[in-house]
Amino acid sequence: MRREVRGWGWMAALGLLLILASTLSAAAAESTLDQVQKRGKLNVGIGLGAPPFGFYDADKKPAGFDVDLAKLVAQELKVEIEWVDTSSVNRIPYLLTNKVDLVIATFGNTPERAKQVAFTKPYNSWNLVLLGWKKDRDIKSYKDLKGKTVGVTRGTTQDIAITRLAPEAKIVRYEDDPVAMLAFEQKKADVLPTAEVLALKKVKDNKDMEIKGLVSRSWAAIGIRRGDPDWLQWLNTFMDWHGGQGKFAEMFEKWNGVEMPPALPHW
Amino acid sequence: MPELLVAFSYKDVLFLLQGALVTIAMCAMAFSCGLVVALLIGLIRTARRFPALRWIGWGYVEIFRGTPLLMQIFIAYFGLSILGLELPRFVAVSIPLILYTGAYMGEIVRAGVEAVSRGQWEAGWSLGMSYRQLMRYVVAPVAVRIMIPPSVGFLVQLVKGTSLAYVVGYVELTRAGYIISQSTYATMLVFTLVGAIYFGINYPLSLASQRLEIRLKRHA
Amino acid sequence: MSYTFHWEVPLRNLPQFLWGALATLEMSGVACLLGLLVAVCAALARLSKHRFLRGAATAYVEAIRNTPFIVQLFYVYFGLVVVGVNLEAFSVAIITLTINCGAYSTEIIRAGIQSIHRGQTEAGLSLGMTHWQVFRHVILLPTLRVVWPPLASQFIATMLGSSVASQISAEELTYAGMMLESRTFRTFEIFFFITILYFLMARLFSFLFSLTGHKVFREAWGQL
Repeated sequence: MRREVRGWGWMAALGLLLILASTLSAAAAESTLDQVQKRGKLNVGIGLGAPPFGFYDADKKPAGFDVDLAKLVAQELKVEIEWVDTSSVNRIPYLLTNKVDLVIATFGNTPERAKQVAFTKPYNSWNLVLLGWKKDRDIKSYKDLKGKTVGVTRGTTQDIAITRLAPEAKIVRYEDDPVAMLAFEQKKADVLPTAEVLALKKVKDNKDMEIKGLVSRSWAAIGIRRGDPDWLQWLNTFMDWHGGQGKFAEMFEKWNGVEMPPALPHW
Repeated sequence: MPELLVAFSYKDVLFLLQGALVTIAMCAMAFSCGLVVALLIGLIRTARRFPALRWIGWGYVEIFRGTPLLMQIFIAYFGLSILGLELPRFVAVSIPLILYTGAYMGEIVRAGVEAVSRGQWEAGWSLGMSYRQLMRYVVAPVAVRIMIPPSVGFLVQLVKGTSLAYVVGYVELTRAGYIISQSTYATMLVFTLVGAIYFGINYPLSLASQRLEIRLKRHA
Repeated sequence: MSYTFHWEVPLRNLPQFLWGALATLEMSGVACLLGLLVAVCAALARLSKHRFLRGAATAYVEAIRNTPFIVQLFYVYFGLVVVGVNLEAFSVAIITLTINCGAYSTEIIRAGIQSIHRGQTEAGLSLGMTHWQVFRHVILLPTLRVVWPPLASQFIATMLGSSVASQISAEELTYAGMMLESRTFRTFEIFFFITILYFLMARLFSFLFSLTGHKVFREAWGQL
């Protein structure tokens, strides 16, 4: 039994360490805006698992809408880019430990998340549609999902939207998009809420699939650390300037092949 | 309409093989350095005369074997960073991998040392052998033979375990697989290849271990 | 670096975490027990005189031990559909963990059986013990005694490894943690929290093993 007691001792020590950690703090540093310019390099945390927004091209170079956006930011700051590939496990830790200056990873900017990171204004919007099978005639829109199985990628804007709009559906959440798509193709899920462009491609390739209507409008924002008003202000000015000139709509068409839906988002 | 998904090509296979090299390098580093830690832990854990040391060794092994390797790497890189200790990426991934290896291999070393019966120890003492001589001539020959199969078993596990270094940004074999899968959507093809390459690395190790085991048994 | 921890985020969601931990225990507990059955059969097959049996068992062990768990998981989850079996993620996780744990345990049990000298069986018989007594006292108990510590270690590894199943949507502790993470972005708090839960479960496995060990063998291990 004594051995067990020692085990608890270790746990207590670990707990103490965590409490100690939570009281630590250091002096505030200068704004990321100045740091980036002095450094001459922008560290971009980028999500590259979601074509056409962010993905690796055939030469394993970052490509997509989000990548172009980051390049535009760096161009305006007149600095180089250092890409930091992120996944769901490390994107927030990268940001909060100052290892990247911003994260561009099709972030949905919810109030809950905004308690932890600061979001810029949204920089794009896209239609989230319901991909389904023609033979499932009883499913006409997201309103008919009671008791149906919905496949999504965990934590994405699709997940957020469908969880809210179809509370009586059975939602199965996968780690990444290709696995969720494969699960849908193998009928492990009845429907798959996904970006319009991806659904259009799937419907073209497979005659048994069809689009079961619009689910919602999704949009994405850049995530930065809280408490850095200069950096946030600069990025928002950047958004207004380029958004106003239709730059984002242009980039959207380049990567999606369809027009960007009206900027004002609604869930 | 732009090409949405990248087609799977020979370049992807090369990318996977590149990832495999990272896997092998990381594993070789962790295993060789971890072995040193393991010997130390194995000796500490079998030191009858130093109970305090033994408890420290026990705590170390429990923590590193009782928590997911992913979390160990995560805490070394991000957790320490939050406490104000910035480790370079390479160090942040090396330390947990080495300590993790040390914990598992340390237990294997301990089992090997403990397999030497009391009688053999006492025979050695009564012949006037020193601790070092005992270890070298009595314990090591027996212990090493017992240690080989579980060691290779662990090495094979480590080869697969290094995949968790992706959490701090290393693109090794598994991460390379995810990257390709996410831009081609050829999930099953990619992961079949990933599995095959892991098998190609690990199977020779398993085979060598079996050969070695048989050879040593014959000499015993 | 300043960071304000919000431990109330995981604490407020304690029920989900405990539920996830129970699911992990269920998933890995069932898989370990079934895996042990598989392992005993496979170990006997590996030591049998039939070439075919030996070959099949060896192929099983090598194929599983030398490939990553996630690949096995994908194969069972997506591969079984091709032959018309469409199982949900949790069952797939249990099946794959069983197969995986079984392969590792096979080697442990084989080594245990081989550690017993053939002569001991004959000695037992010549002492007038019945076959059952010989099996029980000369083969079974000594084998169990040898394999108990490495089996405990393997079962803990299986339990920790079960977190990978969250990738194919199996709902367990890591899944619960990642769900909350995606909602709140509180990665640090949540990860530290589930690490502690995993550690406690590892201790629980360890404790159960040493407890049953004491009961069965009436022998104290160094430290399990």
